[in-house]
Amino acid sequence: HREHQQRDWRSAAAAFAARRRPGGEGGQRARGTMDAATKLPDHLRGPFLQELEEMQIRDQFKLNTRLGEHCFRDCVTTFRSKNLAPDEEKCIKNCAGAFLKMSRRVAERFSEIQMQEQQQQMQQLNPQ
Amino acid sequence: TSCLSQRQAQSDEGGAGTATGRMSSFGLGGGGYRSPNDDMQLKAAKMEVELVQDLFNRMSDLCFRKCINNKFKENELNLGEQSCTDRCVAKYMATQKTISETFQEFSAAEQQRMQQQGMMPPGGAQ
Repeated sequence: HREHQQRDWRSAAAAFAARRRPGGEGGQRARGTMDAATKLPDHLRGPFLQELEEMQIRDQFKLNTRLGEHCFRDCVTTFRSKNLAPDEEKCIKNCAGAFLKMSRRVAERFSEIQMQEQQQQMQQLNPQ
Repeated sequence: TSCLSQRQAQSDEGGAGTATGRMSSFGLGGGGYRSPNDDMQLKAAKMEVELVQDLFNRMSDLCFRKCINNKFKENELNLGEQSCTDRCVAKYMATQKTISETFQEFSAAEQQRMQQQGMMPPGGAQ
């Protein structure tokens, strides 16, 4: 469960895609960005959520390697020795921390923008 | 966000159970028959999620490279980095939106052009 909470903010976008749009318009052609996922029929939601979790785990692994690449590029500058110097170690720790904090912030802004766009789309479809 | 975590928890705790339960209530076995249309819908939803994940990852990488530059002396984001991140996300999404629109216009124009060429004899005007 702890893992899920850690993944939550990180995959806010993916989870957002799986959320059902309130008052879904049936029979209208999918025109929005996330329609295939939000308008999934009920009997497919279970399998979809299973696949979604698999994709989120894969994404988490990819994050690992991406982080490694970023922080290696920024922190490891010399090859005088086989071992990481203590300042390189500290740099890497801070780099990872900063990236993850930034990533959380990006997720927040991202889902805000997604929701705004969704609302705009709904207003376009139901002008009142 | 608590909504999302709740939903994920539901999907997980009862993950296999809920899906199988639902499927069996429809008379399908676990992992049973799915119509080709269902498969297509599932695939479409999967691809959408992949798209969003890819977008998110690229955006994170780019905004990291552009905004976070403190040589990692501290473990926190300072105020400048925070606002830079916010603006970076907004601009990246706007960029993506513009590109999607441009791409759609281009595709539509291409289609029209090809239809016209199909109907016109070779060497027709423009």
